[in-house]
Amino acid sequence: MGLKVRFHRISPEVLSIALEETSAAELSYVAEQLESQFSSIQDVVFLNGSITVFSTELNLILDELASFFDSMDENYESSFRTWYIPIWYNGLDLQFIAEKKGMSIDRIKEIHQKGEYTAIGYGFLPGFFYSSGVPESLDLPRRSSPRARVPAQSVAFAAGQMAIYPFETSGGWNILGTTPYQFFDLNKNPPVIVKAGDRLRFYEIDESHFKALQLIWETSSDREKILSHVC
Amino acid sequence: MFVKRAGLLDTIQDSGRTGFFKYAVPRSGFMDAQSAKRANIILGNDPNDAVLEMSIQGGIYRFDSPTFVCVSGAPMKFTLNGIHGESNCMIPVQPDDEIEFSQASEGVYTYLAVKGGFKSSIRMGSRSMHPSLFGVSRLKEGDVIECTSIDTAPDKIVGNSSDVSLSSKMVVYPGPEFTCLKTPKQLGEVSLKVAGHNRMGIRVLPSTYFHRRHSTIKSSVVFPGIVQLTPSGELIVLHRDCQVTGGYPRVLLTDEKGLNQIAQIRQGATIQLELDDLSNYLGE
Repeated sequence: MGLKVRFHRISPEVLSIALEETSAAELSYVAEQLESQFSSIQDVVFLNGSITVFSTELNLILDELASFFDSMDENYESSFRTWYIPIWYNGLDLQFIAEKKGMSIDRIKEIHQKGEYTAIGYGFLPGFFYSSGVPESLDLPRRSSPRARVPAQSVAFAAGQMAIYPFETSGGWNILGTTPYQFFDLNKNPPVIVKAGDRLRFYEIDESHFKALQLIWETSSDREKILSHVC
Repeated sequence: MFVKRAGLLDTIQDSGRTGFFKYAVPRSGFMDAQSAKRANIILGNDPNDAVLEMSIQGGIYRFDSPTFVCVSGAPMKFTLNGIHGESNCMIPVQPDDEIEFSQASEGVYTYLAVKGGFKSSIRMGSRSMHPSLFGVSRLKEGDVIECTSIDTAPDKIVGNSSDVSLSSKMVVYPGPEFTCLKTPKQLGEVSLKVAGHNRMGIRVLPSTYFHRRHSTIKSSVVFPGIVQLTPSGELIVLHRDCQVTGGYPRVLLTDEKGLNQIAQIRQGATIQLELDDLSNYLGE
């Protein structure tokens, strides 16, 4: 019984908790438990084997936090879901990727669609989530100079990680294409669907399909259902 | 309130949003919280109420209903219908009154608070404007910001003589990757130049003393107050709109007071760091 953790106090209101050999899905689960059990925790962020807790009442809950981890069952189960994401391969870097890898664009698309990606957590921009699992045969480092403008909903990868840009922004990842789905909706609670540990599969669509799916997404009341299968 | 002419970087800010770091949504909020809260307190508002944040150059704003306002923060001359106004006091305004700001004589952020706070739209629990959540990064000419019509003076008038602190000395504490600083003991002996300034962070020019030992660390969690050391040797004091994760060593840390202070230090000006023990900050 109990999870082995190390507490590291960063500031009066910020505590970093290192958990050994924990997957992103497990971290996500523990973070959710912390939030639901401690009402005085304002924010929880998890990344690379550690959970960071923000609380203005940190001093008052340190002991309780320690007992929370002591009594936590180490064999907790974390579930994941698989999401099917349409992609129109119209990316600004598609040709560049193909040339760099010495393959045809069709081969690049095929490799990308064969891959299964695992969401590992949010960072960089609101609603931007990192996923692991980029096949080595596809992978490239970040672009040497970032693009000033990456279109919203771009599907891109760099250094072993895949991501979908929730907004138009600057960015240095290699852009494969665009998805018609918007993965961050601040009018929804929660504003995101994908959780750490979830699996992502991509499938190709063309421009007309893109427009149709965009409309379906915008008007749908059940986006999880749309994401659960190939449309 | 009608924006007749927008300032250089006008935004609506309150004390920011919590609970959304997990989706990588920044806190945002007043850059100099002490000044913004002072303006609110003078009006008898909740200190966390939404205010107009102006940066360096203010604009012209017209009121459509009677209310009371207060200006605080970086000293910036302003007129109400052409007559010079005083900062840090409650000023009554009538419909069609215009308040016109000039440039801040020193400091960066000046606040205009209204009685009852601005009632602009709330996104994810806060009125603080952030480009990703509001689609715009600043107010523009023609914008209208809701505020409550109030024509009777508040019962209690709170006196407040304290002014913005434009100190160039900032207390810092060791951050999680403090050991990446080469000669931390000399931190307090040199002046550092502020090289860049925005709501995400304040870049402080490198000094030969701070060349880092390690090239990279794993991405880690960051928040306002963290001071990062970049590969080129610059320090970045992360501020209210900073991201939630970062890949540079978190060599130092400053507190709320330090954040408010450095918010008011202009590009080109210098600051001095004063290193204190983390245990003093933690209250141990």
